[in-house]
Amino acid sequence: MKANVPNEGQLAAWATACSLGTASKGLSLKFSKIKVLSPTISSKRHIALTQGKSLVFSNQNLLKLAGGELALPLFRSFCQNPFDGIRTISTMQRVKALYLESKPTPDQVEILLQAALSASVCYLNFHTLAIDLLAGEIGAICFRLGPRHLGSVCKMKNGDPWILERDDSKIQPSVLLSFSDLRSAFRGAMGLTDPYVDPAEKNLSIKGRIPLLEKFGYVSRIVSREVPNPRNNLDEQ
Amino acid sequence: MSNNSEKLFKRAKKVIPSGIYGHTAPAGGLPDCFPHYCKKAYDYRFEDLDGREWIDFMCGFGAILHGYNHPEIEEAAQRQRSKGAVFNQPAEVMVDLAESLVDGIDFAQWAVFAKNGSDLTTWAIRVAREKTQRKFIVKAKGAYHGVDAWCDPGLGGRIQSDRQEILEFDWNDAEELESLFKKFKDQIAGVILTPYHHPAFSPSQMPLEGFWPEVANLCKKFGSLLILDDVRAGGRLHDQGSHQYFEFTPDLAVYSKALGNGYAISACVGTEECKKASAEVFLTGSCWNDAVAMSAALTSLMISKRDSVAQSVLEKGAYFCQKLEDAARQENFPLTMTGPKSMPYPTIENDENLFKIQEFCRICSGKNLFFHPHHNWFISNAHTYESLDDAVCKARQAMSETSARS
Repeated sequence: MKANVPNEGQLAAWATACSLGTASKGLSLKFSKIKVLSPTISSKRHIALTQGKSLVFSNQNLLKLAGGELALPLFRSFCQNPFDGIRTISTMQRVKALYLESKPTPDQVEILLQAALSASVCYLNFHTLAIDLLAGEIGAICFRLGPRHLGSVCKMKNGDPWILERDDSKIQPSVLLSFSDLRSAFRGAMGLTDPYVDPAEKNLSIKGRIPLLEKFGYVSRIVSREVPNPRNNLDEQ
Repeated sequence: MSNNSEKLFKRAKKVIPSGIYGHTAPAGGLPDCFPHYCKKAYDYRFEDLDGREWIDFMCGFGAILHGYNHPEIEEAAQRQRSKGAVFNQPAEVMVDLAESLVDGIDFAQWAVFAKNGSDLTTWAIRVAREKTQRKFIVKAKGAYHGVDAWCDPGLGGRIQSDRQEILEFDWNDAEELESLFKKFKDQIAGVILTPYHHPAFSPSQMPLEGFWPEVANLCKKFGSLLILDDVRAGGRLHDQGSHQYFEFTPDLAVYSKALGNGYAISACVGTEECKKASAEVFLTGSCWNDAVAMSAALTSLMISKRDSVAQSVLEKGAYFCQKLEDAARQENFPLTMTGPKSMPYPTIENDENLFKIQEFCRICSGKNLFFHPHHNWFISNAHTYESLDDAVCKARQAMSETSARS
């Protein structure tokens, strides 16, 4: 198996892992020295959350865990390096706490949005329908909160993969989505943006190549359905 | 404080998916400055829910050819309305309208009616399949032919088999079309095309010299039907169908938008050779015999012929586009109007991502000009030369402001 190319049926779990990795990276950059998760695909049924494979989950258990349920890693992976495993679990707790914040700060929303974009990037690169839908498309989809850059999803040229870009100095936007306030940005990060209602109510503005955003938006709504986060159940209640 | 349009939208979103859907969804235009709802319209102007009056260049997305609330058409509709609209049987006006289309359109030997363009573009491809006993339909990439699963531009609700028998080629590339005919020999039922290429979010493309004769020849040579989707352009290029403007002859043609000048009606006309096949393909709808819409369409066709409306809107459009491009040149603003002059699509140099045209239209909206940044505009015969001058004058100021901001 090629490194980090998810198998059919593994995409949601892999997108979850990537999202966790991105959130942990964001937390480490913005807040504290926590262990950054760097997920790898161990097998078609398992994903490791660290390079050292100290914490390996089955695809199913990773999805359960991301949705806020109790799920255990492979015992032997934990035993290999328990200290590293505990640090990884601690990072995951920090990420979970971020999702459950009742009044997140702009920094926290930025991390959450990047985590969501990271999951979408996985789908853009590996989901059959998404690949078909965005065939031939290149460009940068940039997300902002007022003047603040929250993150971008880019593909610079045909043949490149879609990537998440944190640094807007490298980007010429093809389409720009600006949230009007923190609440709207948080809703966006949680996958709750309504692409028709929110622009009409001025909760966000869209400028630029709208067809590219429409396609991306359709894919990200698939991601929202398939990739859980700890807040999913709360928002449904 | 929300305005009336925004207040109504808040009510709408509770009971209507997305509040407003389809091509009039605010998100497809400029939701921060276009009104969400309209109160009334007359001639070339409309008034939004907050009493603001706009100079209109969308004409109900093409449905209005003679102007909003046209007195002769309204009178004809009212006359029929006083007798009733939908009955157990069709009204006499259905035959009158079919005769009018058959008399006016050179190749037409029969006509059928529905409510929307989609109703009959989909029906027409089925007629082609029935006539030829073949399954494939060819269309141009990016072309809009309606809301049905074989062609809609949306992304949801699709399954793979929806488009299994739909083939595509690049507009104006007759060689690619020919290669499809060769690759799918004796399997292509028909080719459906708009008279010129008018994709949303992109400049319009006119047919290259020789494109239409070549398409018609290929269809004839390979035994396929040529279906003209004249839903959007019909009545704005030629009073007797856009094929006359581009000098070719289709087997079937579908009209809607301008046909009823705002009353919901569509028509498909065809050659004698297609008449039997057309009778085999079931066609009906709850209110498709609506005599009010048919009366409006009959009067609309009469006015088009009497006043040479297609020629008139082409001339007005040419005047408007020329003045607008002149103003742009003087302002050093690289605006070009593409497509036919009666339904031009604006494009700005080096603006692939549409930021500049959006900003220009945004500033124009502040001057009460309804210029859509992503869709072709429409000229109606109610536009006066004074109204066009007024629009150009305001647009010129907007060009200057757009340049200053960028």
